[in-house]
Amino acid sequence: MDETTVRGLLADALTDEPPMGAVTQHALRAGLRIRRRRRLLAAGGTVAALAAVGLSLTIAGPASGHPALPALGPAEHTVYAVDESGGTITPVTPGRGTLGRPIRTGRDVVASAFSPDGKTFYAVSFATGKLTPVDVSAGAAGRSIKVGRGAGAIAITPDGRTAYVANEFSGTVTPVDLAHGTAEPPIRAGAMPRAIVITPDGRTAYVLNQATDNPRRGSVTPVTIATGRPGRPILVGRNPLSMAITPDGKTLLVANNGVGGPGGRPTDDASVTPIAIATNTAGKPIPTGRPYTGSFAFTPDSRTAYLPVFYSDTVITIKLATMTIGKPIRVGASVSAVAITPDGKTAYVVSRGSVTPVDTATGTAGKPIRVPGPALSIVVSPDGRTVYVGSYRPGKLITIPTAANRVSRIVQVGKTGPITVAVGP
Amino acid sequence: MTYATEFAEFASAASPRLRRMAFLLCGNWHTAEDLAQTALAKVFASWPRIRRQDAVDAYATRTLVNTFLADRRLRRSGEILTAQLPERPAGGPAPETRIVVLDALATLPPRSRATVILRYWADLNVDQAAAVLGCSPGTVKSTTARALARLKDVLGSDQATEETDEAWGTRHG
Repeated sequence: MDETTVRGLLADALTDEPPMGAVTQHALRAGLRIRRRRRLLAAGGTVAALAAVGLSLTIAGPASGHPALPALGPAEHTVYAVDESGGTITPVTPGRGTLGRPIRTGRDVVASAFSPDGKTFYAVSFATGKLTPVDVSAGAAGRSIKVGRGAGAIAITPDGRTAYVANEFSGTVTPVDLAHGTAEPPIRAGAMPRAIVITPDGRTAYVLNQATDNPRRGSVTPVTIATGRPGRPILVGRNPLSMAITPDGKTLLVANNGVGGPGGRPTDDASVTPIAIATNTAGKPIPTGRPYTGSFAFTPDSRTAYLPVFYSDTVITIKLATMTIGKPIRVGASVSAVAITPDGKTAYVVSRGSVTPVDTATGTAGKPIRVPGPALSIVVSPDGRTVYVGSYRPGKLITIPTAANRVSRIVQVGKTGPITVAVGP
Repeated sequence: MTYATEFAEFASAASPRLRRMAFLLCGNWHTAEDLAQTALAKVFASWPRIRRQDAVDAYATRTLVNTFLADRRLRRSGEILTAQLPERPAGGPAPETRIVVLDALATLPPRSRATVILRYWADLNVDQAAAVLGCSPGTVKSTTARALARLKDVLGSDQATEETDEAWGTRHG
């Protein structure tokens, strides 16, 4: 059979193409899936980069649950502004927000993490499927390590020996021996793994799989780090998009998008699934009713979880003691991310064109701080003195001292962004 | 322009193509629409990270093919046809070409089916198809060769029918 014949036959196979209905056309244009009687696969319609942003913050930022540190002397932490699309990492002077010399890595840096000792920064390029180590003191990129297709999430063990990279298109997780800079044989996860977190005790890596054979469920695969063996997947809700471990290390929360409705309208299948880390069992899902949620943030005392709802003015709060929904925080429209100060007193909420400090005790929003462009990344420095915001179109780094709650500096980082801010020890 | 608007423009242009490719992969329009929607929802989810690349189309194609290959039920949607190749009643009307082609495609394993569609319907070259499928160009070549041989086996008799029709057309057209 020659190629021309095959081309002709394939074209023939499409001769009875039915017209696309108006509802379908709308759904396709909006990146949504509509409700249908037969649904084969769940999928997410939200800002995926946030999963990556959330991971950077979870691993390196205040969400890892360090107790409040007294502010002594000059700021002592490492800050990088990561230009996702440009594939560069630029060191930032802590507290001041000025830029050093950019370091080139692969393009589409959608995930990154600091080693626990803060000496190395690891950038994952979605475009090249490679992990690039950056020596923090030398300010130079080392040899890249090939991981897998669609590499989009990273977590590093607390002992700093191994990085786990989730490969969305390979359905695998690649462990990387960081001392030798070599990739080990990939571990089979579920379909389209999107996020990965490691427990503070370093025993288990949890991989978030967007799809399973049950169209109404996603799953989380626990991987025992000592053996590298994946355990039985834990079923979660439909279309899970992000997850995080509470600062006390007891619970893994998974945000399930559900089927999603246009413009962030409430849907009945959006929920948060709590998983008990001690037993690897899923608890009763907490209905949130809100699709298109971003990355979790926590108060350091593990009392409250915050979950921003895109395309809305709302941040959901969850009372972790009872696993029930608390009073939501409402700020300006189009919320995208939340960061909590190390003392747990203030939540900084990014919405379109502004950052709003919110008193966590009362849920009262303070005066919004105007920032340029939409932003997907916000982080509070470990000393609690500085808030960094990464915006896109244009790609800028915005520095806000928490004492003043006013923008002290805006610097251009990349041509377009989005800019992710990563803070390390 | 908000990025939802940017995406809407891209999706309007790309959705007919993705829906057709999905149909060839899975064999029915209903599932194809689901598959195209799923793929575009994923593209939308990743929009901030991909919209500046020139390769948004390639990304969407890759997402569609990977969504198809990642899902056992979707893969099975074609395979079921394999087990149910229609018995053709002797002397009855010749089945429509499109049904014959779909049946033939369904006899191919999912990855081979995807390879043939990428090469000969989406007109990707060997390297581009390899990038979408995440395999080597050599694998694309060998898979293509095997798949074409298989299609020839399955379609052999129907090709004869077509030739007859053409001959008929020549005589009477």
